[in-house]
Amino acid sequence: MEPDQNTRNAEGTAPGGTPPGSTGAQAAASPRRAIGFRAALQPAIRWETGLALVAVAIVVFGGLTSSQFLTSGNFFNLGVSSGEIAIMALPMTLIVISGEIDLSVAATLGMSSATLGFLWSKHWPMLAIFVILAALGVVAGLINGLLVTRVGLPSLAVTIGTLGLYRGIAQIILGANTISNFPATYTTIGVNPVPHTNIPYSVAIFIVLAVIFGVVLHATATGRSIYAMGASPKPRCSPGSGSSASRPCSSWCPALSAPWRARSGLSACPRPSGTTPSAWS
Amino acid sequence: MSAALTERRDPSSPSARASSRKLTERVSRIRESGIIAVLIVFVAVTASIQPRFIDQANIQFVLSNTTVYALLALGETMVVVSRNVDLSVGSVLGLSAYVSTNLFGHSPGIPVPVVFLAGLGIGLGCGIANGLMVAIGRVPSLVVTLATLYIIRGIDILIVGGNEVVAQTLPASFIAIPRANVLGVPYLAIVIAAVIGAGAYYLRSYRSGRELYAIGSNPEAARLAGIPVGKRVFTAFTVSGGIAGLAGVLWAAQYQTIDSTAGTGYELTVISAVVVGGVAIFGGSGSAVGAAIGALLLATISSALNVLGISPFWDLAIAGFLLLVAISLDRLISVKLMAALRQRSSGVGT
Repeated sequence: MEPDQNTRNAEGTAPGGTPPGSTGAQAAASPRRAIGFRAALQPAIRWETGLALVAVAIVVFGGLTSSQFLTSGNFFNLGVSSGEIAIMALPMTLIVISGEIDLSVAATLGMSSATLGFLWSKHWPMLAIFVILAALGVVAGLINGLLVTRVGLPSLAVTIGTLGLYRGIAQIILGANTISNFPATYTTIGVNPVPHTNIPYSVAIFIVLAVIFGVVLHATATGRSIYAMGASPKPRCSPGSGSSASRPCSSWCPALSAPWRARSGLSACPRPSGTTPSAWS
Repeated sequence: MSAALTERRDPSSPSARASSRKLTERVSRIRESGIIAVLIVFVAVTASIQPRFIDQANIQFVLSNTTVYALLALGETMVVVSRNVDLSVGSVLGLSAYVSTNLFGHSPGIPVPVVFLAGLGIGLGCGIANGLMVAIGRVPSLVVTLATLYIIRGIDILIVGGNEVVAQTLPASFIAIPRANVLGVPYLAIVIAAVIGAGAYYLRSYRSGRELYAIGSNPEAARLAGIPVGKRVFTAFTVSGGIAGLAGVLWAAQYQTIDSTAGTGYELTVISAVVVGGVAIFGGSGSAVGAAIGALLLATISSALNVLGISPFWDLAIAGFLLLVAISLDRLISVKLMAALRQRSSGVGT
C-alpha cells in the first residue's frame, strides 16, 4: 500500500500536508542539480511504478514465507488462473479510458463457455464452434456498443442489463447440466504449457495481444482519440447536442472487446471441472 | 427529468412553463400506467393459459416474494433519483440476513424486534460507508458500490464460512412474519406498501425529497442553488443501506436457510425493477411507487414462468432484457419530450 500513497502524493503538486509555499522554498534553497534529478525521476513516479513495487514486494514476501512459492510450477498455475482475466482486461482498458464501463464481460465469457459446451455435446466440430463463439462475442459486444452510442444510454445501465441477459442465456442453454468430456487435444490448451516453455497458452496469447493493444493505444491516432474521448466532459447531459457524433470510436470498443472474451471463454472452459452455467459468476 | 425540463424553460413566460410542466407530468403518468397495463395484460394472458396463476395461494406467494424486492427498490429509487447507483444492496442483504438471524442461535430467546434492529444497524453501517465515500470522498458511486459489493460479500463469507442458519434455530414467531394474513393478503405486503407509500410521499412532497430529484437532474445546478448535495446523497445511501439491512431480516424469515450466498445477484433484479418502474437511470425522475410496481412485475413474471412450467433459468435473462427495453424506451421518450418542449417554447405549439 505504501508505494501507492507515495505515488499519489508525488503526482499532486504538493505532498500531503505540506503547503505549496514551503515546497517552493525548499526547491529554491536546494542546488540546481537536485531539481534536475527530481525532473529526471518524474516519469518514473506514477501509478504503474507503485503497482510494480507492490507486485515485487508480494513475490519477495511469498518467496520468504514459502519454499513452494518461487517454483516454476506455482508460476505456471498463476498464469493459468489469471491468463483469461488478463486477456479480458486489454479491451476493457480501452473502454475505461474512453470513460465508459463494461460490467458484462464475465457474463459474456460464461455465455460463450456455455455455448461451447452445448455445441460440443451436440457433436459439432471444434473449429466450427470457435468461429461461432467469435461471432457470438462480436454480437454481444455490438449490442452493448450500439445501445451506448446509437441509443445514447449510459454504459453502466446497459451492461448491467446485458450482464443479466448473457448470464441468463448461459443458464438457459445449459440448465443444471455440466459438460465435461472435451477432447484431450483441446483441453491441453487449458492445462499444458506452450511446448518447450513454461508459459500457459492463455498467457502467451495475452503477451501477443498486449503488445498489439499497447501499440494501437499509444502510437496510433485511434488510440490517442480514445484518451481524448475519456478526457472530454460527457455531452450526454444535454440530449440532442450531437452526443453520438463526438464519440465515434466507442461503438467499436465494446465490439472489439467481445471476441477476446469469447476467445478466453475457450481457454477458460477446457479445465477438468468442465463448463457450468455459473462459470465466472 | 421533469425538474430539469422545467428549469430549462424560459422563466419569463409562466403560462408556457405551466403547460410544459403539465406535459412532463402527463408523460410520466403515462409511463407509470404503461407498466400497470403491461402487468394486467401479462396476468390476464398467463391466467387464461393456466387458471391456477390467479388463485389465492399463488397471489399470496407472488406478493410475499415482491415484498423484499419492493423494499430494496424503495432505497434504490432514492439513490438512482440522485443520479447515483447502489450495487451493494444484495451483499448488504446477505450480511444482515446471516448476522442478525445468527443471534437466535447464539442467544436463544432474544426478542424478534432486537434482531430487526441488528439487521437495520448492519445495513446502516454499510450505507454510511458507501455514503461517506461517495459524498465526501467524491468517488463515483458506481466504483464505490461495485467495490463494497465484493468487500461486504467477502466479509459475509469470512463470517459465515461453511455454516448456515437453519430453520430449526429460528423461533416460530419469526418464521410466522411473512405468513400472517389479513383477508388473504399477506400482512407484510400491507406494511411494506405503507412504507413505500410513505417513502413516495416523502420524495414527492418534502423539500429534502425534491432536492434529490434536483441533484439528479443537474448536480452542478443543484449545488449552485444552495442544495447540500453531499448531505442529501449521503442520506440516500444511508437509507438504501438501512433498508437493505431490514430486507435481509425479512429475507431470512421468508427463506429460513441462510448461508453466505444469500442475496447474491439481487442488485441486478432491484435495479431492473427500479428502471422498469419508470425511474430514469440518469436520475431526476421517477417514483417509489413505480419502482414497487416494477418489482411486482418482475416477481409476477418469475411466478408465471413457474406456473407455466418454464425453467426458472429464464428469470435472469428476462430481467436483463426488460432492463434494456425500459432504459431504451425511457431514452426515446425523453428525446421526444425534449423536442416537443423545445417546439412549445419557440412558440409553435402554444
